[in-house]
Amino acid sequence: MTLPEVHLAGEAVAALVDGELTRGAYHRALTHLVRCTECRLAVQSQREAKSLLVRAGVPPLPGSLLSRLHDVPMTADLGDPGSLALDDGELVWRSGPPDPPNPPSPLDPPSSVPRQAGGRGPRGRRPHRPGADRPRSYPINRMHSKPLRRSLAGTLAGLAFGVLAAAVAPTGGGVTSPGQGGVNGGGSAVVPASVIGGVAPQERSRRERLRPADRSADRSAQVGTFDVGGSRPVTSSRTLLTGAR
Amino acid sequence: MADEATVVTWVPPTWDEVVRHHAPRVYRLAYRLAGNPQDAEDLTQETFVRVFKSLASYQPGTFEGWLHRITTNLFLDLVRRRQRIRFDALPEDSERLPGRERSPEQVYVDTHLDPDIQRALDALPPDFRVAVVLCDIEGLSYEEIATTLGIKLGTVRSRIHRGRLQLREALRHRAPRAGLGSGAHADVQEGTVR
Repeated sequence: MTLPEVHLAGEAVAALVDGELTRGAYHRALTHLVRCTECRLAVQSQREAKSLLVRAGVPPLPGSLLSRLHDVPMTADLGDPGSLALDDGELVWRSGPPDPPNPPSPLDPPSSVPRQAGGRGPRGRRPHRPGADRPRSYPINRMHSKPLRRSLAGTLAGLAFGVLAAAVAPTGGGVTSPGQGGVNGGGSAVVPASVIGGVAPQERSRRERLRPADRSADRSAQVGTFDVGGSRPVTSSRTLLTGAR
Repeated sequence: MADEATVVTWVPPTWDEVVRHHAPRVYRLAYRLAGNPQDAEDLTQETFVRVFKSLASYQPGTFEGWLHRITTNLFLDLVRRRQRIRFDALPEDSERLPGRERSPEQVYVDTHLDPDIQRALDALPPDFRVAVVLCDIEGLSYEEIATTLGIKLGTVRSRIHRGRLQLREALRHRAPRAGLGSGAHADVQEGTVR
């Protein structure tokens, strides 16, 4: 039972390499490493593995994917406009039927990551998986915030936007009408207010009629404003993943 | 009321800005988790679809954490789903569209991306892989990883440690000196403890 036989725990070794030890633990670890070759090797091994990953190349974003991402507002199947719901005691905005009292099992297939991006994956409505598709209310840099209050505030604000959008929604024209300029900063193409506060059914049906040909035009002006100048109906444009492939 | 004022003054980004700023990072994360460009593209696209559909409840300041969470959850869902249907699964290549084979991006990946590192990552259990990738590639702190994955800090430490052990073993052929002096924190360099 001599002291050198007591080694650093593996977790402490990893935490040391990542600078995650408290000051006291850090100094104790260093003191130990001075006289323990085995633990020095363990630290070195962790550091080497980390370094290999840190220095690994970055896969370039495929251009075709970038196009599809830009087109998401035009191609995403928004399904139900959404509704308020209670999730684990937390008020959330849920994009789905308003009254599903039976939450699906966490192991339910999300039916959202099809094997093929060619659009052969399952479509239709996605089961809501708690926590998977709603933003957590923590800011990643400020862990000490108050999640519930923030979430509630955001949700209520979203509601307010939704009401505003519904009230202001004109019978024609883009989503970012001048009437909403106060919220969006005016003029620029912004994320549609109808999205922020749920999608008015009228807006949704309009969106579904978007012509695919319109998508490649002036993207910067188009995205967010949903130019619906051409109203040639394309009834089957609810493709989620085929996009502009 | 104060919260409301904060929300109102927040100017939402354009969708183009959202895509431009975050797509490369999401794709990198998805690629390192999924291990191949096809799944990485699907994960990335689905992540952005979720973002678009859930913008209603987005709160300023959480975007990166939100993206990490959506992407990793989608990945873990994908893994679980495949584990359940693995016997029905078609062979890897049978369904791919011809146009997606060996695209210029794929050629670049094959030649620049340290395929052995990706293979070593792919060999890790998905839970370990997520923890290690979030830490070493995304640069998240343990606390951020714990929050993203909804697990305890001790579990994060353990998964990272064991994941790296397996990685180092699988990459034993790599020169040992590769790990020294780069990437790690300067204040725990070897010289300090010798």
